[in-house]
Amino acid sequence: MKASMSVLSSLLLLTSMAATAEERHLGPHVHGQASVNVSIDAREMDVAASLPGHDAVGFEHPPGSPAEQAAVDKAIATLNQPTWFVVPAAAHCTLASAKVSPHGFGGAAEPGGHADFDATYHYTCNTPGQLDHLDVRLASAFPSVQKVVVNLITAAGSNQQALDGTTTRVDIQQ
Amino acid sequence: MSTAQPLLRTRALRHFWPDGGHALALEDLAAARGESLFLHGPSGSGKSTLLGLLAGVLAPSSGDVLILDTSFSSMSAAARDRFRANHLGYIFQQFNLLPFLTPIENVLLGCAWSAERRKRAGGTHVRMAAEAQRLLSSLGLGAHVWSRTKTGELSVGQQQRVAAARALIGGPALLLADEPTSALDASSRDAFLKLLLEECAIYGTGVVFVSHDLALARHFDRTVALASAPVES
Amino acid sequence: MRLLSLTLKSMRQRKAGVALTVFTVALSVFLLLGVERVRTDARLGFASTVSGTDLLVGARSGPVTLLLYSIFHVGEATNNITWKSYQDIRAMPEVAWTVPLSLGDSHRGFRVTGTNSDFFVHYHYGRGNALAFASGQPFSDLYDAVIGSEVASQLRYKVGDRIVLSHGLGGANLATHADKPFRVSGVLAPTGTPVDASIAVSLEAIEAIHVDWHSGIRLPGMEASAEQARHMDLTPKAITATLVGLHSRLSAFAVQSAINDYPEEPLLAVLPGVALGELWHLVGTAESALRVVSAMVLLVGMSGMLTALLGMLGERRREMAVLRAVGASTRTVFALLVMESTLLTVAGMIAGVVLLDATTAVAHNYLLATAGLVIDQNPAPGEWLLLVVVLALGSLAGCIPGWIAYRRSLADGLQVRL
Repeated sequence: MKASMSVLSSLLLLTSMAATAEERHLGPHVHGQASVNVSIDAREMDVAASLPGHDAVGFEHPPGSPAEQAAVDKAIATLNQPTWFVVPAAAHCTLASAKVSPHGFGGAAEPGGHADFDATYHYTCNTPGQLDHLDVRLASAFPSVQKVVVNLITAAGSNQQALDGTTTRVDIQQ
Repeated sequence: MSTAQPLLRTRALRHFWPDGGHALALEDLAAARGESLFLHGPSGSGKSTLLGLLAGVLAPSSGDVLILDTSFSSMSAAARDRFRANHLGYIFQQFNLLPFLTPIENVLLGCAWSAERRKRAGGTHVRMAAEAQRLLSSLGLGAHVWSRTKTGELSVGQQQRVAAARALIGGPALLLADEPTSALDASSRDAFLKLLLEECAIYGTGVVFVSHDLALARHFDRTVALASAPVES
Repeated sequence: MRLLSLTLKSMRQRKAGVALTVFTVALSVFLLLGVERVRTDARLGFASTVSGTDLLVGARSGPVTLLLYSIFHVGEATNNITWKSYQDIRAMPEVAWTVPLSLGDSHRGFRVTGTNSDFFVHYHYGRGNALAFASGQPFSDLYDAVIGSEVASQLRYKVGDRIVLSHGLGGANLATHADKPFRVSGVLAPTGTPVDASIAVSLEAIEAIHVDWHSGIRLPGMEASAEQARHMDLTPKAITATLVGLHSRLSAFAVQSAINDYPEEPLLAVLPGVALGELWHLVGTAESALRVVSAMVLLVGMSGMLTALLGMLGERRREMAVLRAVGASTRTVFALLVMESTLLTVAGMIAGVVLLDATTAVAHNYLLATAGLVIDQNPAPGEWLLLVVVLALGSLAGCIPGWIAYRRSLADGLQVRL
């Protein structure tokens, strides 16, 4: 939590230096593709997932019907309980916090006209040495997701692993 | 001919070679336990074939071989293997010893695959080795010879005795011998045969001895001339 | 008699053949594992060209482009990072350290990197190895230079030698910075990374040699001597790229996106491992080629091994016939043959692995110095599988004559006249 606070402060520092605070860079937004960033430092593990609204709920506009609203609520609930993210039991990790933020489903149009679900999780692991792999089952939680790009940063360095189809295993080199 | 304690019986044995044309019909043969039989016939009279049939190595085209009242035709190949290991000793014309083993080890091979024969030879390794030594000595091979490391270094006559000891160890019911003396001169041949038959008598081992040399016949209980008639298939 | 002792005695009888067969198997295993180790180590070595660095930052281009020009010294940056942006990055509270990289000059075809002395502390490669000095020390004077091992060996430089840097990257008629010669203050030990083929000087030195240059030419009438330059303001205006280390890896993605979203200047922050992975993907044909070689070695090695084993077992035909005749079952004969081929294979495998380890231990430094290849003695991950395959094939080789012996009629055994 401390880390994310300081990130926030540096973000503020950087944005305060910007003349146009409104400016926003558009990140990549590929339908069918979700991204998961995992960073591990000692016993702490941060996980950030981003998934196009199209794949989470099937539309990218403010919900216009009770059915659409229910879909958004269901997606938020699914992301809040990250059963799609499986940590080896031997690592004894506990989910310390989870935060889901939908973008583009509010009133004002987002830049780029897209809508996403972003979710961040923080885990604490008692035996991080056992953290040799992860199971990322985002594609089965949201069947419209075709590909999950996982970025991983650990003491051994960083790497990217793309999960296609039925693969869910992400190897971790400690 | 004693039929009270039959060791060996054949019934209407016929053997056809796969090439056709050539076939062999054998007169019925019988031997009692402990009896020694001299089987005589010229070359090409089917002696080796007969031995093959008696050993259960060749399967007859028709007819049957019974040893100790057990019919070969009723047994599976694996059962015949076991039966042969338990009850038969075989002396080859070529001896077929393993040159890299010691004479004692070669003799012990004779009972290596039969628990029955191991038991009869003493059961423990020490006793079996002692029995092998006794056999070799009885057959005329002194300790100074069998204590040599390699069988391959022995003379033909010495190898002959090792081969005989291997066939006899553990007292098989039947000893089959295929011209085992052809490489020996007349005097050592007679001496060897005498020793061999003495050993057979100790165990009550019956003998079927095949040779073309009629001069040997006098050592045996009975002589059978192999009067096999070639038959048309 | 125990089957094993029978096998061993029989093998002792055929020492020369056994030795030859074991040697063939050993050679096959050696080649197979050797190629596999070179393949995995080449990839691992490549993937850890930069380690311990959390982020690599440059002007916005693509991750691979950034990696190529800043780390591999291939091609050139299209844009630089302004000194002010660099200062902003350094000031971020999550950032523990930064190592600036300023490229553009060369010396006899070797690239010159302007950096600071933190480079020698924080630039790590492989499994977290820091740069080591073969001789000398980091630069302390403005006109000091540290050279990589390949530069030293190819140009036969040593500590204390004077070198003159060239403006730009090559060509005979290149403008030189002859007025401001450098002294070699240190020679780095080989690393197997592009650092071996580069020369490191301080950022200020890069500034000093360009102090009287403008737009790529030396300004006439404005020459500043090496001594004069020492007293001028040598703060760089821009750098090419920077390595960034963080206090906590947890903030890596947040800092990355903060830098990528930096509004005043289009910057690009990449995770070095991810970019290296992408680049390896591009140059991965080399690995595919090695894979093909691996497969061919497997094929040839296994054929050689099978031939040797089959030849060896053929010699035992007579023996098998004898055993069969004295009562050994077909199963026993089969077991004997499989046991022998398994024994030979295991012995060959052990010899092969020992041979490989000995070779890698002996050739380690030579390979690093000449090929920039770091060959580890650690087994490659797929090695166990390969060894299992070799063992299985070896045992299978025994099954072939075993099967023949099984099929052959016993009559064969009783009339052995081989």
